[in-house]
Parts: sequence; structure tokens; C-alpha cells
Amino acid sequence: MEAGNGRPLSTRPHTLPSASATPLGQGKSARRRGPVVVLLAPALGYLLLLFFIPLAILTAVSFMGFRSGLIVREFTLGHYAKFLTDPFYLKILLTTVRIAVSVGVLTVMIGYPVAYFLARTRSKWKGLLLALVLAPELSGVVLRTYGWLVILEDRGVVNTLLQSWGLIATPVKLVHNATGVTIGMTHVLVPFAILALMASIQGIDPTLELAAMNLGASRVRTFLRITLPLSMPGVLGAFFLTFSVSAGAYATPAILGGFFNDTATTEIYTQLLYILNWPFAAAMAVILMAVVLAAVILSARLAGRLTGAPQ
Amino acid sequence: MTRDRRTGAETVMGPRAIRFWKRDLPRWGFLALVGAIYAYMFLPILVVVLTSLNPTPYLRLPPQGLSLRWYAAALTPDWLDPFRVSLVIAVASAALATLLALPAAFALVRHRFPGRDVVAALLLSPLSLPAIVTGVAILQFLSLAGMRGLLGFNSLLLGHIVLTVPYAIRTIAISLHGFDRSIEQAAMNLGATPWRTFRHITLPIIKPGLFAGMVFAFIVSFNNVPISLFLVRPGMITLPIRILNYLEYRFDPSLAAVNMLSLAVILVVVTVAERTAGFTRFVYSR
Repeated sequence: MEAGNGRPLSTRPHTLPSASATPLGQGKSARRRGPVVVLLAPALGYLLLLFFIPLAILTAVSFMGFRSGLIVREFTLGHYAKFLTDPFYLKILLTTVRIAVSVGVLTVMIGYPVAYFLARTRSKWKGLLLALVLAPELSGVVLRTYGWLVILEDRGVVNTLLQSWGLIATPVKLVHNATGVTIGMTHVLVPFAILALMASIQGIDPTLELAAMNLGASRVRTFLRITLPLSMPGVLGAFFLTFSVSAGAYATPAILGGFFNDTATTEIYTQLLYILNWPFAAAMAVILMAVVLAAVILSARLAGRLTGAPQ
Repeated sequence: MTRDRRTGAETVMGPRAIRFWKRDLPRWGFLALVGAIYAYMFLPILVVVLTSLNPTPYLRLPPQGLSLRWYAAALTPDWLDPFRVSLVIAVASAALATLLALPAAFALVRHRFPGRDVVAALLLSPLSLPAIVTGVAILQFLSLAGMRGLLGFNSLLLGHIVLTVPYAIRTIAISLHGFDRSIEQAAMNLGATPWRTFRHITLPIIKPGLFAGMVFAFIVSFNNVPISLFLVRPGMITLPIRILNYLEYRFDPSLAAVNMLSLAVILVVVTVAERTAGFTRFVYSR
């Protein structure tokens, strides 16, 4: 899974099954706190050292100066100002957000029919059909993105077919631009949207749909007037979920965008490893993190509202 | 003209036609759409399979024959070395992540303590952040702390564990959830020590979840791009990063064969996991 871009194959990555409510477990742990600390220490300690402290340092570096190729110990907001005012970098931010919005909309549109089907089917193959949706996620994002490159490039499958049918004279540019990145990323993230939407549609009482149809509404009308409006929180939740993963993805923009394409993640890579401006790369990373976390929180809120879970 | 059976109104369509337009067509149209989306999900994987077996540098449809020449190109040290690195890192980071995750998952599922939700959110937070930010952060941390010497195998392993720990915690937590604790209680009532109970009762029961968590972690690590990206060094590079670097300058079907190599590993691992532990039920349980 490196699901797509290092994300879990669940719509709510930051939640766990709640503590078992057996009186057995509760009574005991209420008395003894020691074991809990011991049990949590290895994992928390590890993440503290190699995740939280590095993130704190990253944030600190983003406020440091950068002169003649060296990091200078001083406080400055210059890197943030540069990113948010320089038209070159503003364009990168806008491109990233634009692609992420397109990916969010497309994944929801493509994922909805499958999610609806899986939520409502009574087939005995349901488990298998659900596994099939998730199976492509197990193959790496690099493999699938390479597949799209073969399909979309100038001498690729699509252009060759269109040319042999005489529909176009010269190849259509489908890769090394935002179109290719959007197509590839949409494909990688459709399973995420399906899981989020499925959970939402399963929460809708099917008798509401039956009632509408009993009263003479067609299937299409029932869907448009009953199912779709009731699943709106799920739709928005799925949108923000795939939006957030898409904004933070690197491999697909790199491969299908031609490596020096204008997205935030590829620019972070360039700044860090080619231009070596670490404070600026750090500032971009912090901004990206803020955008993604905002989307993740929105997504979780919408999913929570839907299932009636307390916020 | 016929009459609608229910309303008695005159309609141009017979009841059959109405059933067709109102019920059958939407239903079959919908199923066809779902089928098409399923096909789309597998399209790029199928294309990679075809490309790897296609004799010409550019894929033509229908395929023009069969060739293993790209596999010959893939089975060279150029690709097999990174392949080996990816395998070793994935196995090691999965095993270590499971060791870290098992006690944490126990604490989260079995105990109620103040701040439990916060702790759970912290432990799973690497999953919500763009992994590329984590990669950048670890690289800057190692450099500024004077530990650049770790770059390469050590940094890759350390970095991957950050991402594999939350996956393992989640999967193990799922297997601990809904565990019938009266079995443990019975063992202890019969005089077993807590350790003996854990060893002979708890561990065997949660073994599938433990194994599934390890497989999850393996796959996450094996496919990882955004963390490896910053932690590799010349001579110590993972397969996905090697493919990315190659794609930056060249593009030929040997990449398809290389990708098939990694797909084969995933297929074997998942098949074994499914047979022994029922892997898929952990994939989509929430």
C-alpha cells in the first residue's frame, strides 16, 4: 500500500478501534499506570526521536537565514514571504492546489458508482470485489505511474491508436504536464475515494430509497433526490482525503510531470538536493504540511459527522 | 397506445417499455459502468505486463509477439542490487516496526488512560503527513545532528520504520480488538503467570494480526518513494528510487520488466499472507 503515496488504505488513518469496554480491562488498568508507560515507550520514543524532533527542527530551519549557500542562525520570515509573494512560487502553489482539486473531484466521480455498488450489493462475492478494488494499491505507485506513462506518452498507446484511426495528425501532449499528473494521480487515489464513499453510503437507510421508488420515482430520480444528497458528507470527506494525499504526492508528479514540473513536492526536492537552499525547502515543506493537515482534518470531521461519532 | 396499469393514464409506452426504461436500462447501464471502472483500475498494471513481454520498444496493440529480452535487461546487477536493498530494508523495517508496535497496540486497545486518544493520534500521525515532509525532516535532522554518516542503509531503515510503525500498530490493534479476554482470565485462574499466558494464549490468537501487520509494513516499505528519496546514497539505493532516477533520463521497456520483478514479490508475499493469516480482512477492516 504505500497506498499511493505513503498513505494507509483506510479512510480514517488517525483512528483506532476504541479501547475494549470489558470491565476486566478497565478495572485493572485504572489501578496500574506503570505498564502503560512501559508498553508505549518504545514506539513513542522512536517517533519522538525520528519524527517529532526532526519535524521541529524542520520548522526551526524554515525560519533561519540563508546566505551564500550556508544556513545562517538568525530569525527570518523571508522564506515564507518569498514563497507567498514571488509569482514563480505562487504559480507552483496554485498548480499544486489546482491538480489536487481536479484529482479530488475526479476520484469522487469515478469512485462513486463502485462505492454505491459495493455498499448496496448482496452478492456473495462482495468481499472479493472489495479486495479487487484495493488490490492495485498493493503494487507500488511507481509501477502504475510507469504504466500510465506507457499509455499516455507521445508514442504511447493512446496517441498511436488515435493516429492510426486518423483522428489526430500529431501526438496530443498527455504527459509532462498537469494533464498527465492529474490522470495518473486520479487513478492512484480512486480506491481511497471508494472506501470513504462506501462507508458513507452504507450509513444511508436503504428503505428510504425503496420508499422513493415505491412512490413512483425512477432509479435515476431516487439516486439524485435521495441517495446523493444524503451521501454529501461522504462526498466532501472523500474529496478532502484525496485532495490531501494528492497535494503531498511526489512520485506521480515527478514521473508524469517530467521531474521539473511545477508542483510543490517536486520543487521541494529541487530546492533541497539541487539548489541546496534548505531553509527555503523547509518553509515550503511546512506550508505543504499545513495545507495537507487542514484537508485531512476537514475530511475526518466530515466522516465523523456522517457516522455520528463525537467530535 | 396502451394504458398504464397503475394510473390508468394513456401512455405511449407499454408496461414492458416502461420497465425497460425505468428499471432495466439504468440497472444494466450502471453495472456496465461499474465493470468499466474495475477494468480502468487494472489498466496500467495490465499495460506494464504487456509492455514487459512486448518485443518492440514501443507497445503496440494488439501485441506483436512475445519476447523476454526486457527481462534479460532487468536481471542485471544494475537492477538486482537495488532490488536486494529494497527487500532487506522491507524485511528489517517490518520486523522492527512490529516489535515497536506490538506493546503500543496492547496499551492502546487494552488500557484506558488519560490522553489515550492523543497518544493514538500521535502514534498514527506519520500517516496523515505528506511522507515527503517526513523524508526532508529526517535528512535535515541527520545532517544537522552530525549523523550524515548514517545516510544509506541505516538512514533508510530508520526512516522507513517511522512509516511502518503506524501501519503495524493499526493492524495489530484491529486483531486485539474483539479479543475474548476470558480465555486469558481462565489461564491465569489456572495459575499461569502473565508472561506464560501471553506466550501460550494471547500470542497464538493474535498471530494472524501480527503477521498481517508485518506484511503491511513490508509492502509499505518495499514500495516507498518519498522517504527513501532523501535517504539513499550512491551504491545504496532502493528499487523505486532507482526506477525514478532512470526515468529522469531514459524510458524503455526494461523498466516494465523491472516493475514486474517487484510485482512478483508483492504477489508472493500477499498470497502467502492470505493463505496463512487471511490478510485481506485486515486490509479493509476499520
